[in-house]
Amino acid sequence: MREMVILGILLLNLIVQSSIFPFIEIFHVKPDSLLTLVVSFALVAGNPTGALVGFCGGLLQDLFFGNNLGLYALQYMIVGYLAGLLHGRLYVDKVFIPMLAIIPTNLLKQTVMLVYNFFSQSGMFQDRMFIQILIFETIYTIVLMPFVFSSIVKLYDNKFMRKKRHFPKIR
Amino acid sequence: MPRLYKNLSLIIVIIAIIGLIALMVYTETGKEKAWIVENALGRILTPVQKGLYSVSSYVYNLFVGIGQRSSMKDEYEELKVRVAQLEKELYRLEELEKQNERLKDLAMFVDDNREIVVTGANVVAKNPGSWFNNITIDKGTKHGVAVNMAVVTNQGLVGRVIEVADNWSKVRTIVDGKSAVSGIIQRNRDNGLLKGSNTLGSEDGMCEMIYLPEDSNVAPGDKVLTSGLGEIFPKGIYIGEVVEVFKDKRALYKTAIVKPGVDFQRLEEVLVITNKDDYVLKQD
Repeated sequence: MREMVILGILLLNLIVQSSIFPFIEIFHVKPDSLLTLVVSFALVAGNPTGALVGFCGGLLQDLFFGNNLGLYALQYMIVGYLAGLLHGRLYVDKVFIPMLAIIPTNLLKQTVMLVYNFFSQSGMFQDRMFIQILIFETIYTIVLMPFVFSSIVKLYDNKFMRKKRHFPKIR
Repeated sequence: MPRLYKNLSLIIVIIAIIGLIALMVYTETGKEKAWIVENALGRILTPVQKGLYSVSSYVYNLFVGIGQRSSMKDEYEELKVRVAQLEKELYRLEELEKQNERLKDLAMFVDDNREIVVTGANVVAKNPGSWFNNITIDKGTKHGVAVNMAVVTNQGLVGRVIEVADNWSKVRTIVDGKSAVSGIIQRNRDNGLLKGSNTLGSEDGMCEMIYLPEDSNVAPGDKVLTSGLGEIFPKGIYIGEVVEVFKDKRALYKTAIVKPGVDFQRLEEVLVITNKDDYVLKQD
């Protein structure tokens, strides 16, 4: 049940991102709603979920829009894992910390992209473009974050989302 | 245990990262054929993709419709301006074509009577009123125009030059009340004097041919040409057609109403011609 709900949310996000977001572009930048989802899940549910949501959401983007398999999955999995490490270690309010968390996570995501571009030499964007995209996308995503985060918190009020899950333990 | 668990999760993540990088590199290098796993995956995913795509494009079009409506308005305005431009261009071209027609006719006349043609000219002004009594043309002494030269079109006689400046001249048309031209009926060679009947207040664009012999059998439909008497106009220029003949009871001559061949209301290009002794105009 929980997995289906999360997968459904990710698919819905994919549709919204590809169909509606082109219309709310500002300076050629769209908000990264997948990032808000991944960070929200990671902050609310901790680690296996954070990394897995990042991995699955990223892989879906790879499959449908990516040039290759793995780039988005890598980005969002790392982001999800690192954000998941914060779970239980600091108090997370409903607005401020989630919004703040977007800044390093987006920076990290774009850095992975930059490294990829460096190695693949695809010349997708220049340094100036990189900074511009980074700044606008961060701001735009931060604005979106409180809405997404509060929705995920509400989702986790439901019982079926509460079942505990860990990485496999070696006994 | 928590320590091991933590380490284990980190190990799993690192393995996943390495696996993903390997996958990236593998799928990055442009391979031309899809490998088996990708192929199978594609078979499963394609219908999903199709569904996703149709949903996306439906939503997309929903939004595009809103955006397009505003851009369509701009486009409409642009096209309206463009249509106006093109219409203007079309009018210009039609105008040129008409002018071309008229000039072609004039050119034929010039070819036939090259010896006596002085210059072509454009009508640049006329006196107010619907008929041209006096007109101004854009050629003057610089172009060889002199007083008393005849002005014609291919349709017939227009009038004669009465005043010349450097680069313009004034022409009195044959329908003007002060104009008098010696004419001849082409059919029976009866002579008469053509006077314009356009005087202030009664402008009908006709000429009266007076002093026709009492016994003349002139009839409506007869063509009237210049007679060459008076030495202003060359002999044989077409003037017009008789539309009516009458005789005053006490007068000793007949009078014919002549309709000029030239359309004085639509006069644009004219030719200035000079008279030469015994020159007879060649006309179609």
